Amino acid sequence: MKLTRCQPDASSFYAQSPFDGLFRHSPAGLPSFERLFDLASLPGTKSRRPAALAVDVYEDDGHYHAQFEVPGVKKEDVKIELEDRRLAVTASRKTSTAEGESTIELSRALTVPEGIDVENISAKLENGLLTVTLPKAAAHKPRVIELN
Amino acid sequence: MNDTCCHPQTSDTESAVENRPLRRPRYRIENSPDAHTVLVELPGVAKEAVQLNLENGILHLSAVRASNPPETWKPLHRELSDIGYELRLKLNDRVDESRLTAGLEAGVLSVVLPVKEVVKPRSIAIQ
Repeated sequence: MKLTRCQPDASSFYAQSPFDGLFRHSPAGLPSFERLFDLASLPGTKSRRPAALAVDVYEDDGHYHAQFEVPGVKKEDVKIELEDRRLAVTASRKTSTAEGESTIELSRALTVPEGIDVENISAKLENGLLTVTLPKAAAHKPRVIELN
Repeated sequence: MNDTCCHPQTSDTESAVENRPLRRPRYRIENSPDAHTVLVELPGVAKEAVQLNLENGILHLSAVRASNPPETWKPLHRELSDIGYELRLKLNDRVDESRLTAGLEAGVLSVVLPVKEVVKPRSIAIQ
């Protein structure tokens, strides 16, 4: 598996004050999913809609987790790229039959929320299920504020 | 080589495990002179969660998704299904049922259905 981190323009990540993050993730102002994760196909794959990877997105206190079904795909045939806030996952499945070799390429791109700790994104492939874990940057994690 | 190693069977609703609905997984069949290989896509399924039975010439596969996310994960967006899988294939007479083998790798179950020796094509030398 190859995890390519494209070093983004820092301003696009941290231009906002840390308090914006707090408000965005507060229960009262919980943004709709569409605003949080912009679901989009890769530009080149529009004509091959069936090859778009289905995705589940979860959140816990410290992370976002994106899960993709990639049965029959080997670790080395998965490519995960992050550029600015665009996370692109491409999985190639190679099959060899009597008729010859064929490759099916599946892909999906997501726009991830602001405040991701890009240096610590990790990915795991197990039982044909790919999980990409995106840790929230410290400023975006929920915190408890003690009353004096 | 034809594709007649097996035929899908419509599963009756009673077959659902503990009343949970099941869906038919995607599968394909690869043929060689020695064997037919059924490749079934079971993403998210661990080896222990697969049940494979052969009864009255029908291969019955059922599997549950084992990798449900931890409870602390709050779903933001769902496209994948938690529903388990079920597939019934009626095997052709050509298949040697005594020599079936199966393996699960990277979310793909492969069931090898060897062809009976007696039905394998053979070349006959002319005297």
